[in-house]
Amino acid sequence: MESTRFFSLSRFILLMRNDFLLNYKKYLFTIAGAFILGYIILLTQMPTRDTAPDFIERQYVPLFIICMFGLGAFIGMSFPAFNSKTDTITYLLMPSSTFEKFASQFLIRIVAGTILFFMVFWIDAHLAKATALFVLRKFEHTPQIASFEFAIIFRSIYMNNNILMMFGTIFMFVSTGVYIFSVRIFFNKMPVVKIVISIVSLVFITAMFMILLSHIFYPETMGMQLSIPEYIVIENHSNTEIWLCSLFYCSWLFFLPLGYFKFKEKQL
Amino acid sequence: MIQIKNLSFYYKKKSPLFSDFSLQLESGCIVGLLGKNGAGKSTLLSLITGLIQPQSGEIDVNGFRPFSRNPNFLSDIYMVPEEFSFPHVSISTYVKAFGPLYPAFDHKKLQGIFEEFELSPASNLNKLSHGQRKKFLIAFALSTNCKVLVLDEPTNGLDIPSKSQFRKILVSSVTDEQMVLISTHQVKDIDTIIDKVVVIDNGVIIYQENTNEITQKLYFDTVSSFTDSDQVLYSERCPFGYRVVKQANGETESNIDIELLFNAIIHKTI
Repeated sequence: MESTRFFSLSRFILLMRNDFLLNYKKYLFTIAGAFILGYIILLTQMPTRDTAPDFIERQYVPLFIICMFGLGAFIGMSFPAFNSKTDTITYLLMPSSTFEKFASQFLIRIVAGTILFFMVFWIDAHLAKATALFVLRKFEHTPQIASFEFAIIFRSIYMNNNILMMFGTIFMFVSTGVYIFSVRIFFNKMPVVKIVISIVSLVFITAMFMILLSHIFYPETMGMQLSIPEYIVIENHSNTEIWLCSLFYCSWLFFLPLGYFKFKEKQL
Repeated sequence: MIQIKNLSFYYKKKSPLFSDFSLQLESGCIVGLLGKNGAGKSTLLSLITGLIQPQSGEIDVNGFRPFSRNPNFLSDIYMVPEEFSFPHVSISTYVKAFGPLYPAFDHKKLQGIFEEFELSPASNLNKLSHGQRKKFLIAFALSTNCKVLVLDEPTNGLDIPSKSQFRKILVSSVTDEQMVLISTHQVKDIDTIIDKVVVIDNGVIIYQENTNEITQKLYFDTVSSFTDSDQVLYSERCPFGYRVVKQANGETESNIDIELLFNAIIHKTI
């Protein structure tokens, strides 16, 4: 009895089934919406005239990042029941453990959301390329359009053979996703807007704090300038790199339990 | 069984709603929780179901601390809130989605209540009227066979025939292992089905009695006039004279007029 207090596979399956039975249409519309939006974004950046420059691999990277905002919004809309008081009652009283509810949302919003995002972006990129080539077929000399592959994204973050920063970048996305997912639980209405405000506030407060420290430790600092003297710590990695990487590597480990315990203590 | 000991609760920036509040309710009965607006009825229901956490004190529902939200506790308690919303699905999809989460869910019973309430499983929940949706929720709640059923204003929005159907279904489907806690302002809708009356005012229990004891102690009547010698505890004017509450004489019993009883309690005449 006690072992199933936190997790029971059969109950978890029932919870997931419940979510899909109630929300499958919403998920399908979201996937369709993401597919169309991604396609439009990619297509508008593809060359459609013979005089246009080639579309090179690197150009996919900013588009990929722009589309990731959509994934961020999807993650920010986790725990949809918290948008209304009546749905919150139903959700909190649903017979499954807090861990199961948290894990189910994590699985749907972060794990499945990310996998679907990669799939949709890949299809969109190839479809946009095919559409652009179709439009360009009437011209004699057409610009080249690079094919999208995920290696492009990895190559762009694996600069200067810096594996520490590559994983740092990956974990930056992981930590941001987990931050969005967890902080959502703190907000009931308009979570996405509030999450954006919280991120902006967090960045602003951090910047202000660092400016303050710059003024304290480096009195020659002028106005809003930041004084961060860089030096090599280990194997060609600077102190800033190490600081950023440790921040991104570890922050999700803080945000995930934060979200779980906030959810556990959630009240009407 | 519900046992509350020395409970204290207050909303942020507000004065305490409950302080040192205690209550004990046994299974196998239908309890009417009555009180004026703002008396703390809905808050008490939220505390019992674990939707909110008390600042201090103990709440024990079937051996569980509600706010821990243990799944075994949640699978044995069902709340019909005053206000509710549904996903855009049919009744049958809703039942498919939520029914299996309650181990003792009885599909046959649900079907029977659907027939009584004239509900069709194919109907889309959000296309039903408020009253029909409420009937569905009550039907679902009863079919879960949960040990504790918490109904907040269950008759709000029900038409007259549905109210009597509700009473009939509730009485026939509640077992000795179950407890139904009904919070309502519409006391007339439940006066024939409740086994126990609990009246709270400003977070304090001001009256608590089983209905059979009430009928032994009090006599409810309508009279054209009365005198001091009639030992009337409380009276209200009505079209035919007065509705009165008197001390029972031990020979004859009357039906309980819960509205009159409630008013008498509120006016501190009982």
